[in-house]
Amino acid sequence: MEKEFIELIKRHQGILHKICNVYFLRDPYKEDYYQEMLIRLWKSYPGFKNQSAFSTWLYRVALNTAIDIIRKQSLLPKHTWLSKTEYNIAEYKSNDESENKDKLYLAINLLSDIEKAIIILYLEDFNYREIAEITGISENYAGVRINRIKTQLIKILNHGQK
Amino acid sequence: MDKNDLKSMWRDAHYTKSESNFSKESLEKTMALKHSKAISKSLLDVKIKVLLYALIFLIYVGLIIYAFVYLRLNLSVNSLVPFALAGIFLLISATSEIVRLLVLTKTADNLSLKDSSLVFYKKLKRIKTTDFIIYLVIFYLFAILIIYNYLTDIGGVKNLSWHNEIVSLPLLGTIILMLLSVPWFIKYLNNRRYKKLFSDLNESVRQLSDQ
Repeated sequence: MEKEFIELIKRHQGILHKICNVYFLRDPYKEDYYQEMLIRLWKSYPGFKNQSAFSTWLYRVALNTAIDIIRKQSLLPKHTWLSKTEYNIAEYKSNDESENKDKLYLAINLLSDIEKAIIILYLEDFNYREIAEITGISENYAGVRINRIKTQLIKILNHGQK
Repeated sequence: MDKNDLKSMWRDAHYTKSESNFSKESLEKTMALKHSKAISKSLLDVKIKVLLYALIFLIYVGLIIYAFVYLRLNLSVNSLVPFALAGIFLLISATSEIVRLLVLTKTADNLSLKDSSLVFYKKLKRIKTTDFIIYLVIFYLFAILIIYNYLTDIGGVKNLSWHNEIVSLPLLGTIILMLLSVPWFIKYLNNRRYKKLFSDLNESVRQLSDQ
């Protein structure tokens, strides 16, 4: 089981990096949380029953872990977080190569934790049924939410947000 | 910018640059861990506090038993107050850290985001309710014991009067009132401590409800 899990994770490590960037952008503990996601994926692996694709299951556990870490922040006073209001997307400057990536991540960072989960699944080309399965919302509502979040993101990217 | 540009922007952003990946060896090492470094350290801090308070509380209980059961020490109500307060403080500190540890270690990762939030919400509520009931039972029993002692004149408590210079009836009343209000005070403190967690969970569930 361990060998199989390692093979699967090696193929899907990029997903974990994306989730970490979305939830823990510029957080000094980002690498640590990446590790925590891996550990919790391994602990949850016996619960993966091949009823869905591995990537669907991986997103579900990794997103749950990321949101859980953020939620429990208030009980772990040692950690410090960057305030969302510190960012101003429209004025944000970076080198040309990573400008778009940073801008997009910074814009996503302004969304709520649940909105982040929904938009990352949409951007990763999951269909409404899969998004509904991972998040627990209905397929119809997934479409509605995605549209609202996209509008919000475009607004942030075009005009910035204090 | 158009709504459809988002996907191409996301794809472009991840086309060239790839982050450093874990090797097989480091994956195996990571999988052998219980938690990541920072989280382990935070949990260890809480565990040390739990152990420390529990240990001091046990020593305290041992000393009390030794003094009152073995040595048959007979103290006035007035002298008992500081002992009782110290015991209450230790008990509250130990249980509050245990509750914190329980909350921090509870997870439901294999469920959908909505179900996971709901399950965690229920677990958190159950932990808080159990904590409150334990305090309620302990402190109300303690108060009942003092009233019973007064009514049956065990330990000379009945010698209390309004004009007694050492222990007066209002003081006994105040102690009983204090004991009766402790569980509610703890409930208030816990509500404050877990307020953010509850509001985050509520917000998640609200956002994942089809409305």
